[in-house]
Amino acid sequence: MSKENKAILSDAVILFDKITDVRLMHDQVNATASEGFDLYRLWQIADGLVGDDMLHQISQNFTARRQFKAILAQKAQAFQPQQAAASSDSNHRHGDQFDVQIMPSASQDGLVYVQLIFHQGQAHQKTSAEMLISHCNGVFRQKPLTSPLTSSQDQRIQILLHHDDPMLADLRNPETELYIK
Amino acid sequence: MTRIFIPTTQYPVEIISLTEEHSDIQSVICITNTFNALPVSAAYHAFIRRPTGIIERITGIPSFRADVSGPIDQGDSWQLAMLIAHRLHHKNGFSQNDNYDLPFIWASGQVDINQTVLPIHHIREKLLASKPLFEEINSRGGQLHIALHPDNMADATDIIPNYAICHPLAQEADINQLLSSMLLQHHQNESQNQIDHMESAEQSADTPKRRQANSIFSLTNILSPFCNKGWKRLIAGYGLVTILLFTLQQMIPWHPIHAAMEMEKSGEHVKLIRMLKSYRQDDNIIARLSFLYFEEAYLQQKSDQLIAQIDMQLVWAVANDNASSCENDQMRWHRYTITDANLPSLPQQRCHLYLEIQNRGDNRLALAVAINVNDSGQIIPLLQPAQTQLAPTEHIRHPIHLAEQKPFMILVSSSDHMTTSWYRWFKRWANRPAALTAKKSLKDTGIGVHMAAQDKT
Repeated sequence: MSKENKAILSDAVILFDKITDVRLMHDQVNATASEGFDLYRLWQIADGLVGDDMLHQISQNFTARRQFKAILAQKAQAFQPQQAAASSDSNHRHGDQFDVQIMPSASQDGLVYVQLIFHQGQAHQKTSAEMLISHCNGVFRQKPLTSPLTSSQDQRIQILLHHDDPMLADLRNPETELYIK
Repeated sequence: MTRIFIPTTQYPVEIISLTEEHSDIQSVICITNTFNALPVSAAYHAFIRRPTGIIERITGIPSFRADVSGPIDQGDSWQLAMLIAHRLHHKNGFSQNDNYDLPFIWASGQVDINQTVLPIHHIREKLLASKPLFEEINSRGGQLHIALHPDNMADATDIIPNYAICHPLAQEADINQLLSSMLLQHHQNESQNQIDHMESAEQSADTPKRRQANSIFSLTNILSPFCNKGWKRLIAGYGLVTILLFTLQQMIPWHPIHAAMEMEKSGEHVKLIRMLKSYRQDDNIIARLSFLYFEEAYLQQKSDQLIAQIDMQLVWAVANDNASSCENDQMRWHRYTITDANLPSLPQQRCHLYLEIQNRGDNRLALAVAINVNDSGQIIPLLQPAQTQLAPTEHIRHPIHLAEQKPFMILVSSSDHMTTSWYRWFKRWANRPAALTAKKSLKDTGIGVHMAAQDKT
């Protein structure tokens, strides 16, 4: 083999090693993803329960936010889009799959009951619902729905919020999108 | 007022407050000031709301929020304490504050739909875990009541503090007794507070400032006869009697009785009879007796008045001097006023026979009439049931055509209301006069009923 051919072969080996290097490949994928949130990671986040910090990070990242929203739309059991117009009653949101009813406690100590009322035919989703996620003005928030307050009689899930809870403001905002997963 | 504790095997949990919520809300138990629903909330919701829950059945309120001082993780032993708390709350006898003068109820037990108390497990652990609380109550001079199923009470006799007042609860009557004593104590405390207040007023009257004020307004002179010991005892005695009467008055179901009266006035007899039937089976003896009195004193009296308001007469004619002709100028007319359950024998050779009914009252009356022949026990309608209205002084006349000389009977009902609800009962009664159900329904709901029958022609 000539000296020239040996040099070409050596460069080819180095190039092959570089291409097949796992770490370099991972870096390359991350460089094209949105600041650490590749699609697979976002899919995993949407699939399981994530912490509020992670959701906050997604909210901060425009690309991740857009991708996460698209994934949620695919994976959510029930979805309620933005309300067409500001409702006269901010304590009630109507949706095709479920309604949201907000009722302050009679004791007037700041406790507010939020009920997700599933429509006929959607009630089966209630039993496996784990999380309510709101998306309003680019910010995701979530509340667990795994409380024991599920009654199969009236097809509703009830959660308790403080009147200062930002989620409550989201629920009252007609621009908020809601996902139940 | 009473403070109530739910024991757990770790610590006693106090019921801090009960809030009546909107009926759409699912009942919850929260740890106070946290807004966290406890895992037993679903069971609590079922305990409150019909058809499984007993609290709505007792109080009529379908949704509550209970705030408690600590977590209750599992089990159903919280039910007895919650039942007592809700029933006291219903009678305005439940409150939470740091006052150790109030009686403390420490209760543990499962309760079924009939308020029958069932024994629970781990009672000894619960008593031991509550020992610091018991000692605290005792050291501050508080009154401790322990409420348990008799079996649980027997199991833990050796570790129940000797200063505790024990209430073995097995059934609703036992719970009623406990609640009555708590409410009575509550009223006595209020009475005592008033006496204390009077004493403090008396003491404050001795201060120079007060004396000065009294000398200006001469108030002491006016009140002085009421401030000696004899008067105080008398006032306390009268107070106690007033409280007892007030308690009894509170237990009378005034609202349902008023609702029943309104039903009667508006002619809703079917709803009324349902309500009466449900109260006849009410477990609460005061409610049962109140409704019994209402039926006797109001409805049945009204029924009698409505019948007394109509004048019923049998009118017949016989030919003069036993002539065969029934010409008008040759007939003698006879009248018989029906006042009791008997009808007179009638002459076989008579020309006419009528039943005349006149409204001699001041109000318009709805009237239903039927006439039957009793043919050896078989009821044959002679005049089919008919309903009509009579203005004051107006009368109706029904001809009676007796083909054979067989005993007949007249059935009459009268009411303020021209409705079909009671008329249906009347038709049923007319078809089977011997059966009492329909007749009883009429009389029980304030409809006048009268039946008069012939023994023999």
